Amino acid sequence: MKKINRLSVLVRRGYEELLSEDVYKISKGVWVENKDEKFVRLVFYPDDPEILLSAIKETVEILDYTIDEECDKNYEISFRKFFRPIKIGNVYVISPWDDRNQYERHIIIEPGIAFGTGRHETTKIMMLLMRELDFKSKDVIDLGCGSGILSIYASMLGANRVLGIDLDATACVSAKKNVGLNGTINVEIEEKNISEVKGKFDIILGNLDIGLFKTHIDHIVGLLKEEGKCIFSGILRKEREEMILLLKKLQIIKEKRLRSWIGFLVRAY
Amino acid sequence: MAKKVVAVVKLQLQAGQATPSPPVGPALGQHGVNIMEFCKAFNEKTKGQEGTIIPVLITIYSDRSFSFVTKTPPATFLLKRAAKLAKGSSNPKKEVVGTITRSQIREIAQIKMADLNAKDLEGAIRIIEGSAKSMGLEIVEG
Repeated sequence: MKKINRLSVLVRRGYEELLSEDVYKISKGVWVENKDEKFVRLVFYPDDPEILLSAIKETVEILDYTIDEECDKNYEISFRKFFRPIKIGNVYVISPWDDRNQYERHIIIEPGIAFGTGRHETTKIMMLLMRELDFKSKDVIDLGCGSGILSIYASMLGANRVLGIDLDATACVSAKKNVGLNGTINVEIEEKNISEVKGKFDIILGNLDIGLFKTHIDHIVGLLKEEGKCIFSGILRKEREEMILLLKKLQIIKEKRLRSWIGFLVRAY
Repeated sequence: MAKKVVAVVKLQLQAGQATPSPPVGPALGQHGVNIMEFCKAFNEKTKGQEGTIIPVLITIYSDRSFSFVTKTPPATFLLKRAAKLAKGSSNPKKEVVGTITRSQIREIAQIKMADLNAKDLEGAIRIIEGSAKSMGLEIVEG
């Protein structure tokens, strides 16, 4: 396998700001690793470490350095080993490069800039609780949709219409892409805050966090149709009592735990 | 949204030019980040700033999703911009390639005080002055 040079340079913290333009002509960029409060390690991958060292020395004092060899990898695809298909309940979460014909029920997620790759306990809790509900002909909202994984699953379970919202514009781009990858037609993604959501829904999905529940719980409850149901997660076990207090206007039907995380299935009284 | 941060990686990259090759690949690959997705998003965000270096902080969450924020260009590039230089001096000890005023130095020092890890503004000014000189910039009153 091809070897590449790795030059690691110890400098005072902040001095990564002072590297000259010439340095970036020799090396495509620099990786700044924090060592401690006073020092950082600057990691470069130059063809010729000696030339780069002298360019760095022009403007920055080098306290120490090491030169190693590292195997070059195809970084574009080497990360894929972290995203093998996983089964959650009765559905596989796969990546765009997987052979979809091998997985009868599947959701395709391009892992990336949005939370919800299916690898997190809270995503799993949400999906497992979603199986307990009848989604047929239901109007659903997914608050903080991230990658769109829950919105796509809701559609797969038979929802009439799904609205996924997220505050983060890049998450919305990612969710739209995933909706497209799955050929899902009845999911809409909108960039907005929870407090901006209007309308009434049969099922509300919220994989958020305790802070957001605290701020928005009244508004969320107001979005629920009569006899509507909610699935909430993103809550740590140590936040359980706090969350139960916030849910006082709702009836808890089921609680699910995975490691240090919990989720609730609740309904309007 | 139930995010748990597992790592923060800092890179300084050419605006609009990120590729999966090193240093991006090794820095993000070890955390299982979808590197092409990062490169596409970074290049999109820094489009129009080509020729400048952009520091970027990438936060990686426990489900291997990530987010990133871009910062102001390094002090060297702010100096170059302030002095309206096409390029720094190749021989700063002999050749003066431009001038920069004390107020411009002060302004850059203010922007960069935290990034430079300086104790106070005076400390940051001293570092920026040193950097200006090493680029072949003459510091003038004003």
